Amino acid sequence: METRLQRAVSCVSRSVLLPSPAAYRTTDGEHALAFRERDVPVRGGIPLLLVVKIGFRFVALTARSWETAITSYHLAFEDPEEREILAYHWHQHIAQIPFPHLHLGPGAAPGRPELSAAHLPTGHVQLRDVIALAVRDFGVAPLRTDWADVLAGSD
Amino acid sequence: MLAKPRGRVSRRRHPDEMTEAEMQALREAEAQHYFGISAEEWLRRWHAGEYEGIDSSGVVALAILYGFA
Repeated sequence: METRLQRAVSCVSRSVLLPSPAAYRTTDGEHALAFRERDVPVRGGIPLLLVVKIGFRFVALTARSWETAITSYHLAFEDPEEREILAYHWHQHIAQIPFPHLHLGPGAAPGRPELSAAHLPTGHVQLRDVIALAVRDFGVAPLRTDWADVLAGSD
Repeated sequence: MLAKPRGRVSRRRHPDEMTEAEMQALREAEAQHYFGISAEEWLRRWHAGEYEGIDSSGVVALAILYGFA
């Protein structure tokens, strides 16, 4: 999982996603994957900051093998002043909002105030979808020529 | 407070994972950015139930970093 997510990030940033302390040392509990910095810049026609926080846990396949399962995410773009433009969320800590959803932040300047607080339903959004959005619609300049193939092969 | 891991545990730190100090610095940065408070104060408010039912990016980001989400 970590390698595939990092390959997606590598299309627009040289920053590295790192697992939280002890993620490699215990198969219990919730772990996180994030940049060391709270956000990282991505270059292109529109200056953007990328925010990635992904929660995951290990799921036992056998007595000695595990796979990782994503349990939550906060994937967002901010403007250079760190005002949130949009944020894809999926999390478990609010029983009334178990579904993946999208928030439009103040950086998106939505005309209707209720839009900033709304939980706009989405399907499960993968990091590669968000990276592709940056390149396709926000003019972010990919760092590698094979970015389309990389994103097609990552999750 | 995070529960003590009970599963398969190794004491050796992997070179490609965050250190405790780096993770704490990230939590501090997020708590300051979204709430203007320390990570310690954010954690106190979380345990006091002050963020119950709140789905803001600050709560979600920190809940993930603390392993609560």
